[in-house]
Amino acid sequence: MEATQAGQLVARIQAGEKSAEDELVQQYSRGVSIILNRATGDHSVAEDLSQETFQVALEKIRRREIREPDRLSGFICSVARNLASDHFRRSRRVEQLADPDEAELIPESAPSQLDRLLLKEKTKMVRKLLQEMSERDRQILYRFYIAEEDKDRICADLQLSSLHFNRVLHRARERYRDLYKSLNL
Amino acid sequence: MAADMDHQYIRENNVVSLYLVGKLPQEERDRFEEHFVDCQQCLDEMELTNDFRRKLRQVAKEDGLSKDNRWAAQRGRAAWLKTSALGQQPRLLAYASLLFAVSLTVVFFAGVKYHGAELAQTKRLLDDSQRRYAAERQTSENLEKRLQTSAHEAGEKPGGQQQFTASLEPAPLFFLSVARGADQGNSAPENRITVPTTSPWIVLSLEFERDPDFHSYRARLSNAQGQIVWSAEKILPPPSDAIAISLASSWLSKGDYSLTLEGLTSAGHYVPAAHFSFRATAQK
Repeated sequence: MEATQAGQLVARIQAGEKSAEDELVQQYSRGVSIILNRATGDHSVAEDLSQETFQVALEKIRRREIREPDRLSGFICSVARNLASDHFRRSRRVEQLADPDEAELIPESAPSQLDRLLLKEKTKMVRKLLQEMSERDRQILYRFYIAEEDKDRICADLQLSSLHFNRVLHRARERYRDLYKSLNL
Repeated sequence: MAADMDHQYIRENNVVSLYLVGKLPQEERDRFEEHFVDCQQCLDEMELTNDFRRKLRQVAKEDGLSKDNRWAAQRGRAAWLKTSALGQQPRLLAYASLLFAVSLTVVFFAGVKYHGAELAQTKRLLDDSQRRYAAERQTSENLEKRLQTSAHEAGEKPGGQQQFTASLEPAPLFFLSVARGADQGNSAPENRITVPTTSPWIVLSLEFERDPDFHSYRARLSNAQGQIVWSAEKILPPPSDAIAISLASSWLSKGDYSLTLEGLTSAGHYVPAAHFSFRATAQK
């Protein structure tokens, strides 16, 4: 969202336009959910905090407590982060989880039969993609996405530049996107 | 990382993946969150990358390579990385010890045979290289002779020598560096070239980091209106990090140009390799 559009949206909310509030929630809910899932590592907590984020943000906007309406994104992010910090202070937990495996940023709902079929297809797709790749590129994917090793270490071990490393990941993702599109979903 | 958080920067620095695996420094993470929180393109990219990561893990899990199961992971990791092992189930590992014992015996005898075969292969390659070198040398000698003959003939005609010298004048060489971030937007390109009036050709040296995985490249030059001025395919990978292309000076007029270089992957797809932009001005 452009800065001017953000400013206009804030102005509409301050003018009491209900549809503008819905627009704000619709525009930011996906992103806020990811931020809160990362910060809390708990989907149900993240869901609760997401609702609270919009409640607090809208109240502050209505009360004209937003200092820079053009920086609405930054404002929403800081409200979400503050609520996550408060939550941890209250529950005396550390801010971040030690194991990022537990923190799925984009939660998956319980799988239906169709989901299971899709999962099988997608897994097949990933196997196809891996088979197309060189052994070194597979090693990069394994070490980065599964073993979660540091990029610098992988680059040093495999004598790769940062740019080359990024290209391998980018190409793999693009190929996955192509194969995904070919499923015609 | 001080650059602006635009899509070019996000793509080039792999910001989405680093964020998803929790390896983005806090300052950059905050800036990225402020960018993606209302950016549908980045949110879609995050969903795709996250989905890809999940399925990779699923495959690794099916192959007995869970991150939690380090013992199995270490044993199976090498096998998983080999193409032939993909798709096989972990129960195959049960046969591994038996196969290992048999392999030891086979490897010993095969080793002797392999080295013999490798030596023969190397000799064949050497013979082939020597033949190609001899052919290239012959071609080069022939060209030299023709050049000398032409020079001699030109020298006999009035004004011929001058004309000949002019045609052999080296084409001006311009080095182009890769366009990054804002350079691909509306701002003025960093690379500048002056199109000569005296030389019919110019040479552009495209400086970029070569990707050894690309089999060949294709290039496309467009003007500021998006019209393709020149294009070429099947450009062989250079031995160094630069590709030289020659263009007729008359193809370029005053203005901004964009040159994209794409690499052909082993899967037969072209993917972006580098992007260059430059401003051409006419020689005064």
